[in-house]
Amino acid sequence: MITNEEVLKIAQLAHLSFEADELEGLRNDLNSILEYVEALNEVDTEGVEATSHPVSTTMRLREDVAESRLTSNEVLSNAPAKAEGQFQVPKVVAS
Amino acid sequence: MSQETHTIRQLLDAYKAGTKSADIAAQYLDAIKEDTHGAFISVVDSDELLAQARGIDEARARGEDTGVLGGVPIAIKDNICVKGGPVSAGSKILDQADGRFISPYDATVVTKLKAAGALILGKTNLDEFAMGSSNENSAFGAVKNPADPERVPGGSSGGSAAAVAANLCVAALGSDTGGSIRQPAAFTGTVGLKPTYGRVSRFGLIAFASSLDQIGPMTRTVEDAALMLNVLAGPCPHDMTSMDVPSEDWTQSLGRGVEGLKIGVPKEYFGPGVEGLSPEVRASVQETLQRLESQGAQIQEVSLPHTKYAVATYYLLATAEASSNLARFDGVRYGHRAEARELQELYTKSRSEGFGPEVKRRIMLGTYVLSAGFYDAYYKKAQSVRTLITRDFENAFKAVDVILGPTTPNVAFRLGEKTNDPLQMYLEDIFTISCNLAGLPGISVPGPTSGLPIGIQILAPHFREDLVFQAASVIESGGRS
Repeated sequence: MITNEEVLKIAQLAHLSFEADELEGLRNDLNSILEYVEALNEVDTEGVEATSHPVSTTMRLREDVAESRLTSNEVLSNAPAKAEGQFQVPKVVAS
Repeated sequence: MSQETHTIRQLLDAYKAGTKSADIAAQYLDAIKEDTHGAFISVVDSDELLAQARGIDEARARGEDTGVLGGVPIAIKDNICVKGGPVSAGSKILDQADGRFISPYDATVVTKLKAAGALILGKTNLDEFAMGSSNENSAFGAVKNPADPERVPGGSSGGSAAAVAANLCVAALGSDTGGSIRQPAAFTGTVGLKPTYGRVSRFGLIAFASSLDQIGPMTRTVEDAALMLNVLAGPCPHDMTSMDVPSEDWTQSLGRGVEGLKIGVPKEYFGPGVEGLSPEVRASVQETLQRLESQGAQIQEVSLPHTKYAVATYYLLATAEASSNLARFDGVRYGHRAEARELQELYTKSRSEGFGPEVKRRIMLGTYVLSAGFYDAYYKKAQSVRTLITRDFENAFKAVDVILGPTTPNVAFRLGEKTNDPLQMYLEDIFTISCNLAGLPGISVPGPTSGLPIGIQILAPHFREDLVFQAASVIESGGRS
């Protein structure tokens, strides 16, 4: 069972925040889903390799040739704030 | 009163007979303006679209090749990028006054549609970031099912399904991570194809779960789905998971009949462990099987013993991948940016203000299962069960050509019926999810019904879309060869 403290810790890792009145409902939802997935413990997976990709493939590589994709202006076109051709953000180091 | 309903084939024939693309485009734009289902989030500039349509008419008049989809009006799910237009993913994080995302590039599937002469009408509604089974998780409001406006159209590609069903476009693109093309197709009485993983490029699709996502067509007929796949399929230099396998003309698979085709029916779909299969869906599947058998198909029972673990496996893997994929929405490069004094606060506030509750729930679950101390117990375990689910199919396909079952346990449910219980909503995907976990091609085609639409699902081995189309075309014709 996930505790409220754990919910807050996960939220911190996920860069999310929740109002106090949202926490209980979220914790209950997560616990009911986690309780449901406990069923996987019935399955014997000893020695079964993990699947990370559904179709076996070797990674294709393209030719090592420089190519033009998006311009700097295109990349910055959706930026909420930009300056001198770069993304602008507030102070990085908290005081 | 909406305009005449067309399939792609009918429309192309009408163009040959003198119908003007500009007139058709205008009719569809008018129909979208009058739409009461909430199917579209954004519509292209009508002057630009009509100019494009007139260009096709002029080229046709000069005897030039106007493309295999020349003048065909298509809608695009709004998690697929179309250059110069907004892409919302059904989320306020990409569509607020301070941060509306305008795509600087076309998704590969859009490039292919444009090259084939398609007219792109606009972007369709969806569950936020494709996370949902009812289209009720959209920041742009729910979509109503054209078959019954008090019911959901399914999700997450509910807008695309409703647009096809309500005759607001001739065909649409959807994306399918755990059934998001096939389930809405089943609920709306349309055809939805999820191609083999890697058959169609994902470049330009806003990722939900990268090892499961696949773009596919939603159409009125099986033939139209084949025509669309002919355009969409093929390797892409921008998506290294797209496979360099031969494409074919999938319309050649239609009308072959099912004489001698071995059709497997998983016993687990109708037994304990898979609850909630409604009597009318069960009857529709049984009637379909009888029809196919009368056409010469060989029906046999197969076993997919790990079916009951598919939903749990999916929700661990899909949320883990989603938590990673959605980390990019941080208020820095695009989308909503919150007022903040420093960077960590900017990330957290932007994401918390921009994402809706279901997206947050899944990010939280995914973050948890990937966190130190839980990774092996949840994520790695689910990856191993995924292997067993894939092996189930490999074993079944040693004995049969295709697998047939219901697309969904029930017909479309009522708006608001399942919104308070996420787990109940997740269980709606029990029949569609395994297909994504194993990377298989799957289609939902309308089955016999005396009431609301019911979907019949056909699954086949990797890259055997030909078998999917072969069986689906017979089901569509009511079992008549």
